[in-house]
Amino acid sequence: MLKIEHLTKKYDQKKAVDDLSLHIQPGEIYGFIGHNGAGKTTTIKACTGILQFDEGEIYIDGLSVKENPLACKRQIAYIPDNPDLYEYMTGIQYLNFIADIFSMGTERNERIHRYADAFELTKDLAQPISAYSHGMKQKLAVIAAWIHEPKLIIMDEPFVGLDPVASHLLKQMMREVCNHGGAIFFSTHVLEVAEKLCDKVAIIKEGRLIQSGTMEDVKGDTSLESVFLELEGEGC
Amino acid sequence: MLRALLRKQWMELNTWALQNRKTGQNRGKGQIVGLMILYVLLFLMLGGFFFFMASMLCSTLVSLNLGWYYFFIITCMAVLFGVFGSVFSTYSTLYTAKDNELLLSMPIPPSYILFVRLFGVWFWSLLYEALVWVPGLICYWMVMSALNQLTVMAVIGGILQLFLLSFFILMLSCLLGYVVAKISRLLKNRSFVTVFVSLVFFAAYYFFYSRSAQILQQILNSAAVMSAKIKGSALPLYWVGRASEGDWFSLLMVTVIVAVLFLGVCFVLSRSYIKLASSGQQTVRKEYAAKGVKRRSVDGALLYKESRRFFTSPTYMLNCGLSIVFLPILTVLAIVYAPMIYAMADQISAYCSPALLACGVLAMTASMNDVSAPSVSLEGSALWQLQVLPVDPYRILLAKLKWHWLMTLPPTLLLSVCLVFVLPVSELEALMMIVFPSLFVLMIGEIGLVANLKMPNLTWKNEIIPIKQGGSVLLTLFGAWGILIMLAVLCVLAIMFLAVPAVILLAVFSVLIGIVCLLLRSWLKDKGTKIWMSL
Repeated sequence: MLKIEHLTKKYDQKKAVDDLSLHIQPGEIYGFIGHNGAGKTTTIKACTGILQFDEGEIYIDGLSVKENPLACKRQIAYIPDNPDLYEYMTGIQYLNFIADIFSMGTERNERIHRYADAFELTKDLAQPISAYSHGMKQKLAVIAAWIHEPKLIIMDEPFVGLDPVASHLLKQMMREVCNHGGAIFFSTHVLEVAEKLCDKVAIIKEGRLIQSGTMEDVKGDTSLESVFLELEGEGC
Repeated sequence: MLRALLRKQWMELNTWALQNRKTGQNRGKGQIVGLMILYVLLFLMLGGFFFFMASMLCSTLVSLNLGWYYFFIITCMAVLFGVFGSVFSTYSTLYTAKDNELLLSMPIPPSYILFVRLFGVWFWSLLYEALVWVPGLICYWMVMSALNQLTVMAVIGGILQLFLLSFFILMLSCLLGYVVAKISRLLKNRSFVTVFVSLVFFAAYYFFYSRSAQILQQILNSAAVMSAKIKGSALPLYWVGRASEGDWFSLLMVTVIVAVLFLGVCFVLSRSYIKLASSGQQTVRKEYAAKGVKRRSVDGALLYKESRRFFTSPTYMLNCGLSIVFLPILTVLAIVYAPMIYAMADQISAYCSPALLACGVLAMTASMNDVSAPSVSLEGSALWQLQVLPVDPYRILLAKLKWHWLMTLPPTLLLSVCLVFVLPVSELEALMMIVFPSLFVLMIGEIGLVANLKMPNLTWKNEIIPIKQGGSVLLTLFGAWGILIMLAVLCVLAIMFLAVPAVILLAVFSVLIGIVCLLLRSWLKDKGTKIWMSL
């Protein structure tokens, strides 16, 4: 579903991501963890086509992000860590805008209302996004990502700002996407969530992949937190 | 604690001078000094204007023993200027300050917060008032000195009045700011109302400015009658004027009245400050009603997004869309004054082609719209959304262009067609009067977009920065004027030395502009999209 091969991205002379390779299969929830400034957001943005990268290749469902950016973007949805949405639109206007871009038909109504009801956001859809709290914006971004039923959903710290009910709902939705053949690639600092939710995990440190594999392979008999702290500590 | 709060407020008041709003960095000493000099010059210019107005009134009224009436007029002007200058900063400082919640969550008495906020507003009220009052006062002192009638009490009275009035203005600003806060909470379409009120304000300003000499003359003509009425039935207003002349009784009465009113407003504000401060920018809640949704094509959705961006921002509309107002006004004026315009055009047709002039006016007025010039910058931190969507970047840029054209082309064409019927022009000239301005509008839209792609600013915190201070906006505006001046010079030279008919000139210019449009479009499709993707 997502194939990252030897990805390298430099800012001036500093390598933010250095020769990173990852494969994500359909049906997998893939966690991406690392310290602040490790290169998680850079990797994620490169996958979504927001950031041009210097070396390597990224394929989404077999299509190159460099050569077929539009075709790749039709398959994915992206939720950033701090979703700056269109403050001058109402919630429903924003969702319809996304639906129009993805040329959705009348099925949009059912999907919008289904997800909005689930997140208890229906009554706020007529409000301008400028009046939304951070959590509400996050929920709206999730709904906007889900309504066009992408094959791959890429998220950068999706649980920040979500209340426990919404977090639980999002986890269920993520599992549902994978059960239907899609895949999820997300970064998080909440290792307990990653441990319970992810099928596979990759740990990045200073731009380099230092560990990846199934959750069982990576954490073994210990916790993901212990493994992470140990790997981080090796560099100190 | 109070000192710390006052220090914070003082720093806030001076942020405009000490910090670069674009980058958020502190300005260098040289930049600060330069900025101070610029503002001092601006104040001197404005002060000079008010001094000129005051001098037209002062000596006449003083010679009629109506010095108090002179001060009454100056007071009215100072209060008007002071209140309108500071009412919106009162609204934002008192009622919607971003650190209200932070300060209220700390062990600071709300009355301290209110006092400090009022200090900030008072400072600006004093500055605005001083712009009018100080030149008026200086003018009076000069006239009285020339008559050897200037007293120490008059000087003291004038200076004290400056400060008394500032508190009166502050009180009025607080009350009006409260009204603004209440009204804006109830308004559904705040953007349009803001634009409408701003335009009415501009129109009123230009009306009074253009007739200031006549208004001053009318004041002088009616001085005896008006002053008698005020003295007879509005004694406090008489005291205001007399206090500035140094009459101690009037000064005392004015001080008492201002103190009572001001302290009364402060008392009411301090009792309800927490509620006021936390009501912030709440608006009337809209209830969501599920109804049939209008589906749009991808291009339609992108255009809709641009329309929402434009129509929800009064700043964007007022600064980049003035032609939308002026072009229809000119159309109406052209229809109303058609016979007069025809006669004038007929008279000057021997020296200058009416079609050429009309095209110049149309293009100049249309160029006041630079909707596309800040459109890339205005994406700001929300740019990622368009970059992530499966839309060809060229279509996104085209939507911005289309919005510019949609806002500018129809009113331009309306005026063009109207002028075709009003002016004495041939059929070919009529055709050029429609083609040339239309192509000019297309070109300006493309220039704006190209300029913004070359000079984007995506890190702004306040949308005023890309709209008013963006390099692309300045380049587009002045570039349009520059192009028109250049074409005008070419016209003059071609007509003087080559006797080229106007219609030929217009045709040639139209072809050139058309070629420029094609080249710019090609650049947008190739380099423009690459720049967009790399933003």
